[in-house]
Amino acid sequence: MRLPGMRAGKKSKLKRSLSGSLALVLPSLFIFLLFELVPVIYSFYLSFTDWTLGRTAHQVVGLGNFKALGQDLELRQAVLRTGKYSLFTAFFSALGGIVLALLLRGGRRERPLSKTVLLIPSIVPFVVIASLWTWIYDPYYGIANWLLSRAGVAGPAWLTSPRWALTALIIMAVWREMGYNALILLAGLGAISGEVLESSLIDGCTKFQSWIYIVLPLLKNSLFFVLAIQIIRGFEVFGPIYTMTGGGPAKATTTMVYYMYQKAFQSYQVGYGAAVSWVIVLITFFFFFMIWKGFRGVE
Amino acid sequence: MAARCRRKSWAGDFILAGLIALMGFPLLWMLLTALKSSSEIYKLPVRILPRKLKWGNFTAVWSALPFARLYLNSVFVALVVVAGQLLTSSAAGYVFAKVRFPGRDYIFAFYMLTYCIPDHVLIIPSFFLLNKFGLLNTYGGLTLPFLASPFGAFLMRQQFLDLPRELEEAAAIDGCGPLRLIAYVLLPALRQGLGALAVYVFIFSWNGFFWPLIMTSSASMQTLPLGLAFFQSAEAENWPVLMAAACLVSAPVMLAVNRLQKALAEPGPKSFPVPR
Repeated sequence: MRLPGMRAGKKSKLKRSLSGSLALVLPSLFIFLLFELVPVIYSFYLSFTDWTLGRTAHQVVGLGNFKALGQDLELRQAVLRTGKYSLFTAFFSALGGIVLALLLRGGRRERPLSKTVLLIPSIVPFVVIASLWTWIYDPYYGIANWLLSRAGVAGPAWLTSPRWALTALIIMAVWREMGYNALILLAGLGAISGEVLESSLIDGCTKFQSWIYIVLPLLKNSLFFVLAIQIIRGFEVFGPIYTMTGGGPAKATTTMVYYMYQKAFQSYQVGYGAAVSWVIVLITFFFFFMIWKGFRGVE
Repeated sequence: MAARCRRKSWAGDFILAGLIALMGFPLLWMLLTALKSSSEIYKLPVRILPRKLKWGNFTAVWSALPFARLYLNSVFVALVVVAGQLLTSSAAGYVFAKVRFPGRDYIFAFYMLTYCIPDHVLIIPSFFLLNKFGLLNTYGGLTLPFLASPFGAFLMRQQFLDLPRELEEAAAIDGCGPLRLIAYVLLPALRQGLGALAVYVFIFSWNGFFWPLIMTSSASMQTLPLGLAFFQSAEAENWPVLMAAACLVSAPVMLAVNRLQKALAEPGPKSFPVPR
């Protein structure tokens, strides 16, 4: 780079090119400030106010919202419900993902067609999935209950049954996320050499043992990723609730984000809604942290 | 040994085929329902295959919903967001990868940290901010917040880091300024990465629901997912037409699935999640 004759004027040119280059981040910076940083600060502020739409004035009430949240039985139930939804979905979709990934492993089976089928549920708009499964779950004419009736079981009313609605949503979510998990885990498996596995079999491991003691530990990173992302997605679930159940029946599917939506945009308690949104952040981070700790323990 | 592996793999093939059929069935059911008549779906016992293919459901969609308008809105929003993110992400990615200035990596780390802020925290304040700007129920409100993302900057930075140094050095000797360097030398070399980013951002935008739900108040500004949701709540009985609409809404992302699959198959730091 140090060519003779380039010395003169090099510095000023460099400076000019530096400021020119820095200007390239301005658009990203602008969007970031306006639509990320300012809203986050604003939301934080709102969570300390009693702003309710339709009332002209609002004032800072300090920790008032958060104190009320502690007493809010509906919120507590929503948290438990969302936790249940999130953990069950993450666990079963990761389990299914592992099974699929192990079966898919190996040249011949890694055909694009099977991967495409596995990936489609997780990338089509969830609204599509939601209306499809509302039809599948139709108590009288839906295919789910028809198949159950052929097996001699009287199917429940699924989405309109307080006992089954959440389970119905979990089954749908597991179906939706399983293939995506499988492909992530499959990429993780790709890093595991076949030789290690073969030598373990030669050393007298059963196939099951080699899976438990060799494949699973090596899958640690991708498994962590899959569980973390599924837990977070679970905690943030909103769309299916909005389109399929509206939080019902009898609040059986009111999740945290849906509760926040109801507070802020249906009962217009903006300050309270903002406080709820921060509680959701805390809980999500807490679970993320727990998984992270758990995985670090499994060195 | 070889024989044993072989036998096992037959059993595995069988289970795998079964599982994939099970996974694929709901999607097939969507298509089959879309091809039935509305009297046929309300017959018991359930008939798996349509007696007569009713393609008319797919044309009925266009009159049952303001489908053309919804499609146009979705396509327009997606195109603007994809174009915007390609521009801002490659610009920011270049700076964070190639331009040296004090504190660069800390700023980048901070930017990445904000990627962890859950979207729902932003929903309430953004609504009132956009209201103040007069952007509610406009294309600006639907697109502006998504014209840049930490995810895109991260992805493109990674791509720029992987480029060989010689490329820039050669260009610098030829007297290339940063803009021309990026536009004519570096970006063409990054077609692959740009393509992947475009696919991700497209899917993200196409599937978006919560934001358009809050942002729009008139049917003429709605995007496809919203239109579909409202159609479902308004005409819950008309499953064949609804399923036909669902097929048409999913078609564009299904076309993108192969590109996505390639990106997901790469192990290591280059593999990344589908943003939704």
